[in-house]
Amino acid sequence: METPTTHNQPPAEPPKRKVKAKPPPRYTPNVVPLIDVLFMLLLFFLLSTHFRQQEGDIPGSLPATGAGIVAVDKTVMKDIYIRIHATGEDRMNVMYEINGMNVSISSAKELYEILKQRQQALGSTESPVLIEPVSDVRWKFVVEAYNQAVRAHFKNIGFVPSSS
Amino acid sequence: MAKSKVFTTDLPAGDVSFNVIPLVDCAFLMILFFILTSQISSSSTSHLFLAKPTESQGIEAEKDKTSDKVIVNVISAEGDVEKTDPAKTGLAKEYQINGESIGLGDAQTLTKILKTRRAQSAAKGGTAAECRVVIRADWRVRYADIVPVLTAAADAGIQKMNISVLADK
Repeated sequence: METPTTHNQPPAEPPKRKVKAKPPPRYTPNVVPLIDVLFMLLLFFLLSTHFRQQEGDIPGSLPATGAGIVAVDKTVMKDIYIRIHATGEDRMNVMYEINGMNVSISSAKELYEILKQRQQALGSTESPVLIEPVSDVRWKFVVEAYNQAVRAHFKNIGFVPSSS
Repeated sequence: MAKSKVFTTDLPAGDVSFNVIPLVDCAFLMILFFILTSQISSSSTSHLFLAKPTESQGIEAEKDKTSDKVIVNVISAEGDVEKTDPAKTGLAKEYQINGESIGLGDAQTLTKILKTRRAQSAAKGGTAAECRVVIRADWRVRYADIVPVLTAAADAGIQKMNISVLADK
């Protein structure tokens, strides 16, 4: 019996594998420059920001006539004179002298207490308060005297030109 | 040997990355905060150190920017750093109104500018009596250098005055 020969036939092809389709390429942006710019902006704001203290205004008035800088109504004659002298190194301290008193005051708290007592004794907030700083007194002490007079509810507060 | 339950990873060896999204979120939030809270400083208010009185009676300045207010800044010659200088004790450097500098001895210019601003205030519909001068002086300046401002304002016919201080919070 003859066996069929197979050596003239071409070799059988291997079975084809099923190839999965590649997913479409994903394009993602490079976020590194974004983060760099973000940090630069943040650094700018951190270095340039400074927090400001709240400012306020103490109201006052100036003379209507323009002559001098005393703006008080002198119809009430019992006025209070506060004379301010600069003391200490660099003029960083002051002494307040109030007319009719033999003691000098060095602190704002004492000044307020005395002004309050005077106001209660006078029974009026219209009494003029005249602040006379010596010319080299630093502005903060003048403002302090003015502030305490406002705090004591005086309405008629003025500045006197310094005599020295 | 039992498998460790503390250090486990599902990532193949050599692949380590971290999530930057929360970092970017935080950075954006911080930038947003700074953008919203920052303000560009006005030329009418120069940088100087105001006085802070005890139990300050300063009322918070009005937020409106009407021309009824003339802000006179008195700049100290003792510099931009808050300290006193024995060589220049209390001396003022100059006056500034809306960024314009006026020399210390130039009372005429000061009066002229205040008169002009008072007239502008009257022309804008308000009365001349509405105009007020705000004295914004460095605490180190001596009183003798503030007097010309008070005198010039009184000569210009301005009747209302405010003294700028640091307010108590």
